[in-house]
Amino acid sequence: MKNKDQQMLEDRKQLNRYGYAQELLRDMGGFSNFAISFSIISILTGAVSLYGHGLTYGGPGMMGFGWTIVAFFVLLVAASLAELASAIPTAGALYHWAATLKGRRIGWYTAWINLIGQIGIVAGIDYSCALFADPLLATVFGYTSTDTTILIVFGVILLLHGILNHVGIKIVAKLNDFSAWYHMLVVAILVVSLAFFTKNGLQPIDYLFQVGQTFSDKPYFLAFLIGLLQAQWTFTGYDASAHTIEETVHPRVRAPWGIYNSVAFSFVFGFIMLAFVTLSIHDAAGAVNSDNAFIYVISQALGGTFGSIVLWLVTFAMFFCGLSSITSFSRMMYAFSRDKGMPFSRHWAEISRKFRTPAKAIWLAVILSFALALIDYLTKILNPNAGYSTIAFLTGVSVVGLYVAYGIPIYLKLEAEAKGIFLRKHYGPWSLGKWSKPINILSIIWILFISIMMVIPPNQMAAYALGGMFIILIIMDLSYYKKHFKGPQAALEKSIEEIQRLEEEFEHEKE
Amino acid sequence: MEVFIGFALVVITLCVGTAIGLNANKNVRTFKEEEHEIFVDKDVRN
Repeated sequence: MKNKDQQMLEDRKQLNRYGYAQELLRDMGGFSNFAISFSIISILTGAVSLYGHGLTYGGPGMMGFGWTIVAFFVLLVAASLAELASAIPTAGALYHWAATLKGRRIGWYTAWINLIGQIGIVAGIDYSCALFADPLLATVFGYTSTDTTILIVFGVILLLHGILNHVGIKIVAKLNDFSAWYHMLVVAILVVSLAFFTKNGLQPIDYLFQVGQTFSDKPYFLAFLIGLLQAQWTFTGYDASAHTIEETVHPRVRAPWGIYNSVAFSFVFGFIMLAFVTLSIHDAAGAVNSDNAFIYVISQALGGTFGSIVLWLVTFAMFFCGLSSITSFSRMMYAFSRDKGMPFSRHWAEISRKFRTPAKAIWLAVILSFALALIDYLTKILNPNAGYSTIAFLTGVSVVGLYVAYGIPIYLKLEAEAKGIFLRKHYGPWSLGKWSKPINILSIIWILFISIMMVIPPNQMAAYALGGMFIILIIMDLSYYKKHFKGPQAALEKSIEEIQRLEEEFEHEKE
Repeated sequence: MEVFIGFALVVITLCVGTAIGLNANKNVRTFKEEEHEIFVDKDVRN
């Protein structure tokens, strides 16, 4: 059994073999690595902010059936990614895996698709937080909540997340650990409150699995599939455990467990929470017609001050979720930029000598996320009858962006195995053995299916946005990166002396 | 009937999830570093 220092030395050597220096501070334990993904999945963000979407399209049965079906397949995707994280433990994760398994250009596209998904997820999470925080603040300070005030609150939340992430991984890691416990505690408070204090009591259990009733104009089966966005968006962002792999001690085992366990625990806690929230509904039509179905249900069930306290607790959970998602996003950009995959890469790959965080990448993540919500805000001003919801747009972009980026390396691993390039000896300690292939295949089928489901009307704006971004990517690739991007393979040309010199510089700065 | 199917789905998801986890844990425990090789497309560091 190695002590922490021996393990960290071995982790550093492992990273050096990929041509990278240990620039980020490696200090995260297994729980912190799990906590960052668990916080980004955040059942109190995704399942709550899209509760109205799920209920409108799939009725109460969406919470019983929809959540479970999505969780089943997401567990398979998470297991596939966990296996890759164990085999190739670098912060670039999806991008690095794709580039190594197939080639630099597919890696470059994977990175950008992942990046687009990350913009969507950060914007979606912090926008959800603003959607909850703004009406609560409006009650406290006596103003009227509008799209403009929501956008301002969203900007302030992003700013706070930028500052906290800039200041240091130690603070963020502590907040992430706290966030994981906080999520479990708030779910417990919510469940106990609803179990004992719901006005008019809970519905019979059949209600949770009631199918056939939709509040949309779509046929039920199609409406149910559209409603899956609620669960599917919740189960995103668990690649964070892989993006923080260079900050995790014993990463080849702890990061895969972080990915897998975050999904598994989110399934269990999320199911319990959704079951009690749904069973407390006594006016489903009123909930779907309200501005925020979750707030409506909780207010109706618990009423007054108690209901407000629960909503504040949920809002803080969303705040923690956004904090973790910026950490993940910035690490992904840092890793991609150190391989010179983005315009002005030198800046985004720069590590703050004082805080040992990718400070400029953090602020770029903040700006890009704000820009996406701002574009949506302006679109709605120009076209007030656009007929889609901002949150569905942001979440649609993030689900498709992230899941396509998850699917590419899984597919490429299967291909590399079939060609005899990726062999048994290349698997890391966390592997699926003979189950790997069927799990990978089922993951890809699910990703293809869900990517189509998330962009069909009424969420077609997400498809237009993703299509537009993809055209820009093709132009960027053909005009510059096709020739100049060398991929993570270029790092392998660095000598070990050069890597060690860089690491010594960081150590020296620390002293 | 829906309740039965619903809970059956939950139980199946929990069982499959646990089985994958146990299988991975077994592989972690039996992993041998000396049989492992890092996967890089330019094999310059091995």
